[in-house]
Amino acid sequence: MPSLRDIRKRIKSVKNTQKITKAMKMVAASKLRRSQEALMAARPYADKLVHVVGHVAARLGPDDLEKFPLLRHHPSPRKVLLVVITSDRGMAGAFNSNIIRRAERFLWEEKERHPEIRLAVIGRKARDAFRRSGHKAQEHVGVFESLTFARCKEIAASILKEYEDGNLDACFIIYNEFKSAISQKVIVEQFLPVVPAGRPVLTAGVEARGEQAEHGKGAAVDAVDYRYEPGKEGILEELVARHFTTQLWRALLESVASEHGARMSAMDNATRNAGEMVAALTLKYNRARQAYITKELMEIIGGAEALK
Amino acid sequence: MADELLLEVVTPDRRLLNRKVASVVAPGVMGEFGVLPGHVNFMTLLGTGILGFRTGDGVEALVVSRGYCEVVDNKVTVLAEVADLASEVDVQAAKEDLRQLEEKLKGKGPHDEEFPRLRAEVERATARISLGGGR
Repeated sequence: MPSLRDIRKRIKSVKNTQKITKAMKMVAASKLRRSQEALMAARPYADKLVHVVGHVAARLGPDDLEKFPLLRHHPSPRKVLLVVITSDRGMAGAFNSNIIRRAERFLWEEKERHPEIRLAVIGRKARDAFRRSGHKAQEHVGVFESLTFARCKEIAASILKEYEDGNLDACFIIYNEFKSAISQKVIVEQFLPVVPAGRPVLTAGVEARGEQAEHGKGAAVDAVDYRYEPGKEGILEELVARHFTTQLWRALLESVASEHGARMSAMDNATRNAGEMVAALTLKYNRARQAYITKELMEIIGGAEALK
Repeated sequence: MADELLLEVVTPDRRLLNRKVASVVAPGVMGEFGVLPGHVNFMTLLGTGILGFRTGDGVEALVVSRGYCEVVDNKVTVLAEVADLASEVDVQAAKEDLRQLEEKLKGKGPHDEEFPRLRAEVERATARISLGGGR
């Protein structure tokens, strides 16, 4: 039987923890709102770009495709880069472990099809996890401290360069998609070569966004060519590269918003659990106190009885 | 045929404009070009400069930098990496930027690695100044 003082100490420490989790929840909630706004603001650009790339790609003939490695699909991609996006910080429930588990499954499952899978990690948690399991990876850490488009562009440019140099046949990205403040979804998406229009994805159960599916269809139907200025080549090359950068940017923003959402619900749970624990401990404390009083009374009565 | 255009300007961090206009003048990489209703389907790279458009109430403008312009079925879509609305331009800050950039550009030849980027920044600062009515 723990003493009264021990229980009192426990209650106090649980209450303190509860205060911390509550504060973290508040912080996550406000960060969530900001990152959600950033995500919403980025979506029109990303969607428009998908739209434009879809338009243009639908109008390309097979000879054109030959000229654009970024659009050309490799018959049997050997050298594959897997970009894993996690957060820098933990305390967000299963947010990071879901991603890492999915990435490990990818490495395992795709080993046969792509004999050479390399890793690139964005976020400290993925880096730590893959270091522990002894995988080599390109590491991008500290991206989320101040997330800027310029930083994203650097990462994208380094991947694009490898692709253009022929060191890569394909590039996949694993990230958490922001569904709502309380739900995230792990997504595996092929980013290179660019899959025009719609977002056909490797994982099952990912619906192509309705709007984009429509774009794809529309583009195929009205096969009117554009007039390009300067030439088609110059434009497309840049367009597709920028498409990649933008998609990466979107993935990063999705991940950040999801992270805060996940942390918010994790901390909400923790706060609730702490509350329950305080209630249980208080009950125990009162019982112990009563038992103590009773015991003392009995002793006094016993003592008085003996004196008679 | 429609007699107006739908102009949409988006950047990676926001949607700046989405409105009906009568005509657009945009800074293409191969020189300025104008778009009127009924324009042929068209796709171009944008340089840095002032994008102007005419509405029923007059002419307005904004600065765009590094982007695309797509014209399809009387819809003009501008995807710019950076864009500033006229109301947001701070001439003083732009002048300061320009001064610093010129400082940095000193002693750098056109073959320098940084040159194209700095050059584009200079153009953007210049466009901001002239849009803000300075100089």
